[in-house]
Amino acid sequence: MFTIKNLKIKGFRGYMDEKEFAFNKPITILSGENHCGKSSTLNAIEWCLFGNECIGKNTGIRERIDWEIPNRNLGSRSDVFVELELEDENKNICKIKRKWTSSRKDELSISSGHEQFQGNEAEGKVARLLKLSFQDFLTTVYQHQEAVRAVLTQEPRDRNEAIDRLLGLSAYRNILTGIEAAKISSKQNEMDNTFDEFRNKINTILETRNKDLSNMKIQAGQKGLKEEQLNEKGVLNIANIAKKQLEKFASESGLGLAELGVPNQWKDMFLFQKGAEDEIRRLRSEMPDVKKQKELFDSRSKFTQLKIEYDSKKNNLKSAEKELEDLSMEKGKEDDLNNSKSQIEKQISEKEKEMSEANAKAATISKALEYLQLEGVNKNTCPVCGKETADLLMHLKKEWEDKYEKQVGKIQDEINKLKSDLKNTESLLNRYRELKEKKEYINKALNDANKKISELLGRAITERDDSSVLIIGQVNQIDEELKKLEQSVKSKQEILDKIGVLLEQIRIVIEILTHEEKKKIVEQIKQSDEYKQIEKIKDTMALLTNNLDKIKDAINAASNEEAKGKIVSTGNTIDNFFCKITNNPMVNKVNISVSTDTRGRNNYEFKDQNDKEITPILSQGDLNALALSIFLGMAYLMGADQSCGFIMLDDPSQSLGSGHKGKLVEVINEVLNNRMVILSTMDKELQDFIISRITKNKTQYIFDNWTPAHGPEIRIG
Amino acid sequence: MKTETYEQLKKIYDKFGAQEFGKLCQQLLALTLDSANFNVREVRLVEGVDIDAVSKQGNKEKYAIEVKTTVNKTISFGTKDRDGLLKRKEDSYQPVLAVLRLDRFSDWTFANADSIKPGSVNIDGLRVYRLTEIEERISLFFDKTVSDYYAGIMRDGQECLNVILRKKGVKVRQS
Repeated sequence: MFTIKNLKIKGFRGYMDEKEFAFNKPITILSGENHCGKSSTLNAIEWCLFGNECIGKNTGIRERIDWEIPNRNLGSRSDVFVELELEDENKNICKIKRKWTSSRKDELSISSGHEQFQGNEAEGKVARLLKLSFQDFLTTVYQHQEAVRAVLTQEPRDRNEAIDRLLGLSAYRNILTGIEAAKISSKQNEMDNTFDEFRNKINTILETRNKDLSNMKIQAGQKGLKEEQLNEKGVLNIANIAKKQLEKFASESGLGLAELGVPNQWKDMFLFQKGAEDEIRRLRSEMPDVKKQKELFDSRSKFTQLKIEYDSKKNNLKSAEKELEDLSMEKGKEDDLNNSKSQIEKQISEKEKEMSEANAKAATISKALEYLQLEGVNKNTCPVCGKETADLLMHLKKEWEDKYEKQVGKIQDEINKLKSDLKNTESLLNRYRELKEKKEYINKALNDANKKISELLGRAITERDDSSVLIIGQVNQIDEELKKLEQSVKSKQEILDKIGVLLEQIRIVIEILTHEEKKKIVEQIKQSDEYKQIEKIKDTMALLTNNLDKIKDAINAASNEEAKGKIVSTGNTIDNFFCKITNNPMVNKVNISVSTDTRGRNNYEFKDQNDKEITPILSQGDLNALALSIFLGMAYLMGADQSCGFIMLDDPSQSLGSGHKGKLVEVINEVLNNRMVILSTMDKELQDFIISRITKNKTQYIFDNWTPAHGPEIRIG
Repeated sequence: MKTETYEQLKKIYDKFGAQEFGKLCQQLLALTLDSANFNVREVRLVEGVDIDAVSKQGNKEKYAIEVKTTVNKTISFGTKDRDGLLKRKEDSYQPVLAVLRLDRFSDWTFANADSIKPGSVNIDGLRVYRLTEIEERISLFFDKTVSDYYAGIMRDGQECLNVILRKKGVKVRQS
């Protein structure tokens, strides 16, 4: 057990300048008006021991939300600290210093003898020294008003928890809270749900596969398969039948067959099925009848083609001959045209000669006219003969116009007409030539076609033969042969078709068996090592949950038993303190009892001498007195069990009347036998009672003149 | 259980509904116990503990079995069920809760009912109290039992199994 020996505070909440307190008397009173730093002093002790645990919603204290550590008026916040000096029963001193660094961080150091620790190591050391959680500290060491009220006025669950802590049963509570925080049951549920999701997925897969399988089996039925064939034995039988039929067919057709081994197991059946399909395709194309059929089709096609060619050429020839005949009928025979051409040529020659003569004379006159029209020439003298003729120029002009110009024009017209006739005649003769050439060409082609026909028919074709009819005869022969072959080929194709159906059945059975195997793989998940592993984990989880339930039951039972024991030992003291403080005529006796709630936790009840619940009839002051009685009763009797040898009372006289206060001081005087007390109050009356009635040595620190620049002024009273 | 067994049980469940399915499973379990070398003394289809069976091997352990079937993860284990089972201890019967969840991956769970608290019981929570030896003996025969009697059940329901149980010398109590 340790007590506080000394305290230094700087920059913490209401403090600015560094202040130091000595706690060397059984009771230390911090007195002064509101806002002078009294509560900051108690808070400083708390913060030094628990750091940021004192701040925030988790403390259960409303005012601790957004609680500020450094004083707002502090210029530099680098020097905010609280230092505590603790002393144990062997007079060993331990110094704990917590320095604020930021709203989320602080630095803790602890020195004890020659040992010094920092940071996490220091936190651990302090925790081991205190042996108290922050919640325990709030209910068993630091009588914070709000924590005290929780004892009586809050929800039963919180009240019971607060009383558990007051009774020093927090270790049980903490273990139970730890177990609950681990949420093993919810983890187990989570695991179960995940596993169920997995199982649902598998179910969906299997249901889908079942549907597919069912459809496949319907399809198999439609293909003539029976239920009993839808297995390995069935598919092997079908394969053997298919193989035998193929062999028989090949043998009967005089064809070879590739090696087709029927496998021993269905999984290899795929190769057989594919191989057999290839063989069927090959046999279909290599069957002798089919080959013959093909040859005949080819031959028929060639004859038909030749006939078309031959007929076309023959028609062309006819058409050429007709054209020649038409030409002859219409334009005359070729010889006549040749004669006509010679005559026209002769006429042209004669006319040209006539033209030439006329032209010579005309040229002379033309030149004479040109000469006579020159200037300075005698217009009446003939330039050829020199003969003088009156109006010679005019005379010559008239003669030129009347005689030569008309004559030459006429001859020229005649020549032009003859030339045109010649051109027409020549054109007709050319047409004759073209048609004759064409006829010759067609004749040659026809001869070529006949040669081809002759070759195909294998016989000579004379001019007396009608190749076209010969071809028709040959095609008819082929058609007859084809007709005969068709029936034979059809029956063989039908045999192969039937074998094809067997192969299709094999394919379907393979598909069904593959599907069933896949389904089996999913079904066998349960036999897998992984599944067994999950089962084992689930067993372990179930065992853990069950064991934890048992542990919780055991802890609750132990806690309940200890609570009962403590109530038996402290009940009278609490009753005594309560009756002493309140002097309530309605309550002569407070009986505290403990039972268990539905969760197995401790459930406390406070009843009067008539076994009636007292909390409904107690005034605010009485309730406060009852809370103080429990707190002080435990402090008085259980002091030896606590690591903290001090208690801190913050404004304990709230709602208490004058009489209550005097009695409270008497109770505190008793508690001082076991614990050091640090009491903060603004209540002058209470201070007076303490000073006048507490029989132990006391130190009084008076807080006043608080200024923003320096914080509180503190003097010893 | 095998997938085929699950599928057959599912069809039985779909045809007869949850309540009748429970009774049929009780009878199927009794027949399975018979195959698994138990002497099935009595099957109660009306009230009381569902099955009394005595192992013909080992310590000849006597079991009073309350049968529960469900499609969910929990079963309802009533105080009456629990008290009925515990009362059988007076006749040296070990109280057993036998649970079958109709699920592709489930098997019969046999749990020592001594410590099971009444209420809604999570089937996975019974793992702690499992009697694995009986479970293993049952699992060897249950699939075959269902397969053997499936057609008869689908045709005649409970009556088919009652006839067979009686033929095997099992006392069947029914309304």
